[in-house]
Amino acid sequence: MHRILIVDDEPNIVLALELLMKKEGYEVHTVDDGERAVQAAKELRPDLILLDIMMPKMDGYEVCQRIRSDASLKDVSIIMLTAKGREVEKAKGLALGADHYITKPFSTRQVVMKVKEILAARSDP
Amino acid sequence: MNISAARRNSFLSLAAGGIFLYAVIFSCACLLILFPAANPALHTQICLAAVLAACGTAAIMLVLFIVLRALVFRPIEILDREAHIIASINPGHVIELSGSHLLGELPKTISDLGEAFMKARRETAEAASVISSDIENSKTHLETILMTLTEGVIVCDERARIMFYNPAARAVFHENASLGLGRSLYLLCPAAPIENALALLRQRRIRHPEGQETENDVSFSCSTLQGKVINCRVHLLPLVQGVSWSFLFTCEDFSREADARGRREHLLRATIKSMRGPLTSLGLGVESLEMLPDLDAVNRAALERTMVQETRSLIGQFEVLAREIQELESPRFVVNDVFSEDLAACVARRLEEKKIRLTMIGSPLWVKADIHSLLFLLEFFAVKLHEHSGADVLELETLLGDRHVYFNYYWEGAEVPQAEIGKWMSCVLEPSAAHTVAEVLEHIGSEVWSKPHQAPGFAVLSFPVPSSASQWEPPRPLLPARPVYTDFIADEDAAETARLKDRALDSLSFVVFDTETTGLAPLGGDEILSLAGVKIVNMGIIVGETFDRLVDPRRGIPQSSIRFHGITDEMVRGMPHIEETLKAFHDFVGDSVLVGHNAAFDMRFLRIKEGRAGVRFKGPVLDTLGLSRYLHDHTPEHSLDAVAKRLGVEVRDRHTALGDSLITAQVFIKFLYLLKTQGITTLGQALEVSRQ
Repeated sequence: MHRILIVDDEPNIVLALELLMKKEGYEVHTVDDGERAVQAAKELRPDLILLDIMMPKMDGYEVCQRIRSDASLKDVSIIMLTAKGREVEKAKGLALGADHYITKPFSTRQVVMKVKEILAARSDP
Repeated sequence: MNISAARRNSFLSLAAGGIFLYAVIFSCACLLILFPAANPALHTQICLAAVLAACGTAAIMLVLFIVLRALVFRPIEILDREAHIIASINPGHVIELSGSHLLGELPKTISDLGEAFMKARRETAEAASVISSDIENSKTHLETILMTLTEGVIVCDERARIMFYNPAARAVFHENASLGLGRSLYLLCPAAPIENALALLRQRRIRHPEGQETENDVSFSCSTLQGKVINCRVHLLPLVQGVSWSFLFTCEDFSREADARGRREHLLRATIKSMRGPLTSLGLGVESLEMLPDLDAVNRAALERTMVQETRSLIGQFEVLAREIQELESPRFVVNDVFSEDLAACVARRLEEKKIRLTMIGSPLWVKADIHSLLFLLEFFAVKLHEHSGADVLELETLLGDRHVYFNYYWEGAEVPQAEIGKWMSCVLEPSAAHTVAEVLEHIGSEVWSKPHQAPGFAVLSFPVPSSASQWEPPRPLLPARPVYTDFIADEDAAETARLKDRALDSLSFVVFDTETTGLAPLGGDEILSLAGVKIVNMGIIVGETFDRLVDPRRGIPQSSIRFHGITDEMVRGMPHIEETLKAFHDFVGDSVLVGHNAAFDMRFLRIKEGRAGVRFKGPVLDTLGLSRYLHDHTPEHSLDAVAKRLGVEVRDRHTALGDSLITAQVFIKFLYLLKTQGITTLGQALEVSRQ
């Protein structure tokens, strides 16, 4: 069973995503700030992280960079979720190691499809 | 009194004296014959004495006349001619009186007078040239400033005829061929708003006479006759004697901004309208679910389906809005197109003082941003990288993204953690404006990050900046002045030049000529449209003998060139081709020496056609441009306009072949006089100095 970590400080979104992912049959963990996200990533070693960018204490970019700088976490897939929709932010997210970038508002279908796709690609080889 | 009158008078007085003397002697002789004296001896003696006296007197008279002629009359005659040269052509002329004369100090006095006159004239000329070059300098300076403005500037007289315009104005009116000196502004934009503005401004001016502060501007937006929206301003210029109600018209292309604003407003209105429906039904759906908890499964499912549909529709519309708005986002600060290489060079210089070496790698790109902010950012990041990583050597590369140019700093070492970059964000970048790095990044629409470089041991710091359209659009070519060539010497016939080189300039006849062409490149397919020549004989223009022909160029006339010569396709239709015209011009020139201003330019066009016309212009060609450079080396201004102005030649029909030929001819005649004062009298000498 794939393990997913959801990182967002918006409880409603966390709730919705959690329900969706559980329905798809994944093991789901949630945290609501950046520092805890890095810690949880190290402890739980999830297959995929749904990572919000705008968060208190440590933003999603920094979380992403920290996770990528940890060699033991190099296989974690990261999907960035953000209200910032500009091209430069997407470029920055991808440059710092995100695998995909989804802007809010997003449809649940969209997220589920992307998660499935990425996880399928991981299991293939 | 002129020379022949003086001679006539002296001859007359001499003749009168002689006749009187002979009359006396003759009377004495008659008396003796009519009244024979008693004493024949006495009679003979008297007769003898009378004859002797007459002969002696005649001899004395003759000697006296010869002496006077040699020592007085002849020298006076020469002196008179020399004084004439001093007075009319060359005040510095030294009087040459060979042999002795009885004129005493007179020749020297006249020479002195001439010298004093020349000195006075030179001083006046120097003073005048200093003043005129001062005026010219400040005028040139002012024109240069106007040329660099991005705002279109047009100066018009009271009848809205254009007296000046800058390149930006040309860009605003989209290369409209009607934009030209002396043409009406109303060929470019509608008269009504401008006339209204002028009427208002004149009224204000009349109400508040000179000296009082009044508002001299009216600003408005209007559309050009080509359908562009422009923001313009009409400014009534101060009244100058003889120039009434001239005004300044400044304009900026507002089409893109107006268009963007319009689209933004339309988009907002449309989206708000179309979102109302789904929002209402969504609200109703939620309320229904709340109020009817025991709704049956079928209805509940229907309600949920509606809600899902409406939500998707809302999200979709929001996406469209967000994307469109981002595209239409107009910068809130003054932005410019700037070449990354220029930015890098500026920053590199600033960094040198801080002992950081910055090198630009890769190919530079165009960006569109507030230059001031960008320079500060580039410098700030370089300094921070140096502080953080200790690197003294940085490389800067620009990479092209979809809509952005990525500025990448490379250095040896590890990447900068996002946490560190986060700390930089609150640094104040511009002390005066109190902007933080985050604020500046936000306003140029950028983000910054750092990551390891593909090459191990190196790192990158990136920040994207909006890309400029200049990347894809070639720079708008400024209409260049005629290129100055000096290579036509090779084309002339050496034997012919040798034959003519010792001829005195004032003994030659000249043909001063000019051409109008479709462009500046004779080898690039540009053709002669008009050819004109003016004859000069005995240092004067032969009024009745001019050559002025339009030529069918066998090609279309570029709009951009019509502004300069005013010759249109219709005007040259049915005119002779260049071969025929050149043959006729060759006949017109005959033995005359060709003269032109920047003649090499025109000669290039002529030479190319010589073969097909079956003629050859063998003689040397004198260039008034070269002569001007030689005679007035105090100034760099040698355009025909500048030269004509300097010499006081009235400029009329400028930019027509005949008009320019006439101006050049008048200039050339003045030069001939000036050359003489410099001791340049032969064609060979003139050719030599003009080619220095």
